[in-house]
Amino acid sequence: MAIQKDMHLSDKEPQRLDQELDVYRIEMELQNTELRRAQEELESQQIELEMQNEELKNAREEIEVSRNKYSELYDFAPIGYFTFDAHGRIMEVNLTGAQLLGTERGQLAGKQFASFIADADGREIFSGHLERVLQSPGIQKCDIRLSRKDGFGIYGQLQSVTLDTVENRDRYIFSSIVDGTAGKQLETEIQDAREYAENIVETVRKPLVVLNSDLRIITANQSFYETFQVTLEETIGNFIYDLGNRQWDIPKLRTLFEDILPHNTVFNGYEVDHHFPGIGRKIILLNARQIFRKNIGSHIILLGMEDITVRKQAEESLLKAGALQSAIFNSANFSSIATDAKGVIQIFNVGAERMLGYTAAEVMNTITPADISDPREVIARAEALSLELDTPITPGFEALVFKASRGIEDIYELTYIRKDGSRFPAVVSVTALRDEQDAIIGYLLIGTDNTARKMAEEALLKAGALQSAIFNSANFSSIATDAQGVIQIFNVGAERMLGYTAAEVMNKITPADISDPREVIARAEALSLELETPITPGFEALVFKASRGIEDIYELTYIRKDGSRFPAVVSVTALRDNQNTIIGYLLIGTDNTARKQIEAEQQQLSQRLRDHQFYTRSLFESNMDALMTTDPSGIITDVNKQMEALTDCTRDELIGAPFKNNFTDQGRAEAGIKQVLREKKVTDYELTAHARSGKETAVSLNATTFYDRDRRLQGVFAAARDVTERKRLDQVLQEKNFELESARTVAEKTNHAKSDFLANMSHELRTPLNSVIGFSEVLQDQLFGPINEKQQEYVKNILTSGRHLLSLINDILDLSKVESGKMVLELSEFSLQESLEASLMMLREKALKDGIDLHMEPASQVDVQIVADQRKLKQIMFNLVSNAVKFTPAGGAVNVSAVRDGDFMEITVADTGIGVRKEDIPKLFHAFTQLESVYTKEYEGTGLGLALTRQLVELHGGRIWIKSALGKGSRFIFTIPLSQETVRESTTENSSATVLLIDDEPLTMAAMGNSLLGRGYRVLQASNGMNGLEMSLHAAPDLIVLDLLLPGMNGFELADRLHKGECTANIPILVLTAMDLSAADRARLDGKVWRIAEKGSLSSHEFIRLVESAVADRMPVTQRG
Amino acid sequence: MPHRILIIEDNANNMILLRDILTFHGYDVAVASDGKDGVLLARDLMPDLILMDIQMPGMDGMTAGQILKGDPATSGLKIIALTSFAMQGDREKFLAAGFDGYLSKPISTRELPGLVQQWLAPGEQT
Repeated sequence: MAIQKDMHLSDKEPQRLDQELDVYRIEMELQNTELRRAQEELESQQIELEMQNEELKNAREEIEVSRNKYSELYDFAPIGYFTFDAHGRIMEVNLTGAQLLGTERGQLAGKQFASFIADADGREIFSGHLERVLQSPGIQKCDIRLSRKDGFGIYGQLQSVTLDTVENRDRYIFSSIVDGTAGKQLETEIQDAREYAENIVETVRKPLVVLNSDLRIITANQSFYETFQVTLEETIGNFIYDLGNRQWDIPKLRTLFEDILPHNTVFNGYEVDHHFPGIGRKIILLNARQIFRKNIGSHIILLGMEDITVRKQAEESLLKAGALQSAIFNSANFSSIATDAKGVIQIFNVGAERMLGYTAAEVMNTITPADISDPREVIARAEALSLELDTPITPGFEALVFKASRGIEDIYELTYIRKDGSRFPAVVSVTALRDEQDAIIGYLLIGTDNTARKMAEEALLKAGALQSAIFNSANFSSIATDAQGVIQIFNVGAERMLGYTAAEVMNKITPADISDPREVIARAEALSLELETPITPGFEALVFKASRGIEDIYELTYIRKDGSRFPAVVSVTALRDNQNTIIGYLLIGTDNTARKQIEAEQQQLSQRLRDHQFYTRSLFESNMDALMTTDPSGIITDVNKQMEALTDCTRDELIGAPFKNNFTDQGRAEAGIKQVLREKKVTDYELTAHARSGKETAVSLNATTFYDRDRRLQGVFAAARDVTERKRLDQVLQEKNFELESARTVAEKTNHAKSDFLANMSHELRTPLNSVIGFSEVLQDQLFGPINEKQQEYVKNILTSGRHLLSLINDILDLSKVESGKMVLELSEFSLQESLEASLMMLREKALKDGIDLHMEPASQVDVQIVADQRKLKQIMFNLVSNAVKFTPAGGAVNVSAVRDGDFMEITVADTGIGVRKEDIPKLFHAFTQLESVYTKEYEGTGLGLALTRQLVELHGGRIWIKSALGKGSRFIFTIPLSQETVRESTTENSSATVLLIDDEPLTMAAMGNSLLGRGYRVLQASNGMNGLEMSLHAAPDLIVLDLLLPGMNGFELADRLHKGECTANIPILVLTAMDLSAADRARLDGKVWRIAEKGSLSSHEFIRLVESAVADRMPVTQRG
Repeated sequence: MPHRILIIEDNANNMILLRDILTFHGYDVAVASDGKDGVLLARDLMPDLILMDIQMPGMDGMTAGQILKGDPATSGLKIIALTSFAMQGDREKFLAAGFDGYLSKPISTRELPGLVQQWLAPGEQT
């Protein structure tokens, strides 16, 4: 198939070539067409180019023409034209330019323009100017001074621009220079004038600024900077509206400059009240003068200012303070002087002018009130105030206003000095003037001529400084009304007391509206009656008397805005005009609450005094003893009922009679009183009271002197106690004591009985237990043949229960022994380590079985010998460790450790068991109080183990305690002395003495022996009577310690034999016995032994003491023998 | 020839217990249930060791012991007191009464054979 197709293709090859040739031909034709079109286009472009060349030629011709046309203009213009190259060489210059340089035009080409500049600075400026022109487009300017050959200086401004050539190869600079010499001269003049003005400006003490016609500040004086707190940089050149950050955006000021200024050249007295950020409110008085400077054709404005803030605010404050004060201020009768905060006088009213003889202008802004006050008084006042207020105060203005500056109401007398040097006493009331932020802006000193006041005190009281002070005081409510009673003034005191603001009441209500209406009605009625004229209840009732010129002060209840009431004392004065017509009323009220309270308190006090007197009387009367007071001479001044009973006389009969009359021995009674007066008191002074009825009572007198508040002796206070009663009580007490003693004996007996009972019980219980345990053991040991597993288990249960019962009985028995004091320590010296390990050994098996890790701390300091009762120590350890094992769950640990602490070992048994609740700890060591509910159900035990353990520890002189955390484990810690002897000082003294111990009980013997050896004695031991006798003969000991109950020859016999023996008769014998010796027993030993001691009750320390004293007794005997 | 031991014990259980154990350990054991019988039997048997209960009805152990110790014929017999009295001074009382030893109840069946052996050993006193 494929071969067929190939053959077919080769047949068609010539046909394909023809087709390709056709395509070529067509393409060629197309290209020819395009070529023709391009030729045509080129031709039309050539034509266009020719036309453009023509135009260009025309344009060049035109330029040439216009250059010629303007050449003249160029040459003769009043401006100097220069063309410079990039290096500042003159390329071309017009005639004017050449004239400016004073050089022939033809000589200038190629010259450095800089060579015509007058100074080096100018040349520097020019080279900088060129650089700027070349680098940036547009016109550049600079001022230069040219120096001409003829020496005439030219000021000119150079204005330059780059001029690029067509080829753009070289850059030229085209510059123009205007001759500015005339302008410059004017400017200098202006500068001089400005400096002159500035100097003038500076000399002005009030703020002054000079503005140019743009209202920009040209200059300002120091006072301006101070007043507005701006810097020079913030001021000069700035718009007057915008001084640094101090915005003067004040419509009034704007209007001033924009509207008024173009039409007026002068304006005075404009006030600008503006709050400046940072310096607060300022009220500025402005005076402006516009000056036209003809030579420069513009205005400058001189703006003078005066800071009248203080004055205005003072005036405002005065205005605010109301009509009365304003009246005072305008009155020629008061000298009103307002100052700024520094004391410089700002206001000096007509009164001040009249009184002091100065005109306002003379003092304002120049002096302080201190300058017109008596300097000595000012100094004295400064000193007094420094003391009073405990702060240093400068003599001067500060002394006059210091109190007021601290907000203290201040009125004082001061001597003012007039201009003519004469003096007058004034009463000055000082008030601090404050701005809205409560900052002090000044002071107002209102003075009245005190001579006038003294002449017409009453009048001045009504209208003088005092009233003004009252009016300003927050402690007085001052309410002024018009003639109809409508409130016109409502001062701070009124606002404070009544809770209304002045605005709320002024021109709205009358004082009657804020008074208790019932009181107003009652007052109207009372006044109607009193003055026999009908008076309307209302405002009229409040001021009627005052309106008739009657002094009127009365109590009235005011009602506060919140409805609460307070009692006020109100004083009413009618205010009259010059024609003596009433124009209003002034009601000054004081809050009477305090006085009312004092009255109430006084009443309470007197009630309390009465109560106290009653109380004293009650005490006096209710006393068990007969009481009386006498004067210093022994005359009775007061008695109580018991005294009446004792003497069988009435109170009236007793008072006024001599004290001694009531006693059998009057001389002794009188002596008693004298003793009291002498010694201030007597106690238990025995007397016999004699009653009128003849009854005689033994009394014991206790008496003291007493005094009044001023420590003046008032007399004697005496209490006579009936001692028959006391004697009876003593009897009763004795009986009670006897009963108690009997009760105690009974209790002791009972206790003994209990112990005996317990001992018997234990015996009765032990006997059957003996066989229970015994048989169980035999069965368990399978002595008589095997038993099966079940039986073994039962036997084991019987044995366990039996042993538990036995330990219970043993504990009870031991406790009863301890309680009855029958438990004694059987001391021996042993290794603590061995003993502790033996204790652990007993429980190791059980611990292992329960999965508890029981071990002794390896670091324990147990490698010591200890003298103690080993069996009891084991018991202690066994109890604690078995307890720990018992209460520790599987996987836990029981850890025994011991550390030495001085003469004691401290042994700790720690477990990780269930722990003990904190509240249970105190119960833990008490017998018969098991911690039932929580522990015993799960953990069986006798509950006596710990009680017994404690007893055993304490018996050794140790201490036991527990630290436990519930759920975490417990630590039982006990201490035990290393030795039972604590006194060792005499060890060496007795080193030579030999003691023979005769006792069959090895433990007792060992304990005693060790004690003695430890103290340096030589010790011999015999375990029966026969041996003891032999040793006594051979060793001749210094002391024989003898037990009475001995196997073979007993102690009694031995004592007999020793007493009879020649060599042994002088050896002292200390009998140590546990026996309860009968009288016969004692008789048998009497004279033969040195002393008999009870074994059970003897501590090892006491034993040593006995041995010591026995050996000491023996010494003389030995010497004798 | 085994040692002969006389047990004087009123409590039958305890008596049987002691008897069986000692018998088991190869002693020739005789028993009496009160002091009087015990004294008679002791005279008859002259045992090597007498274990004497103290609290017994009729003649108590203390009396029986004193009788035996007081009689020259029997004073050489070793008598051990078996008692539940554990109060302080008990031991002294028994030793004073002439007893040769003292054994507090309950008696460990496991220790008893050893103790008996000790008491029987010549020349030893405890």
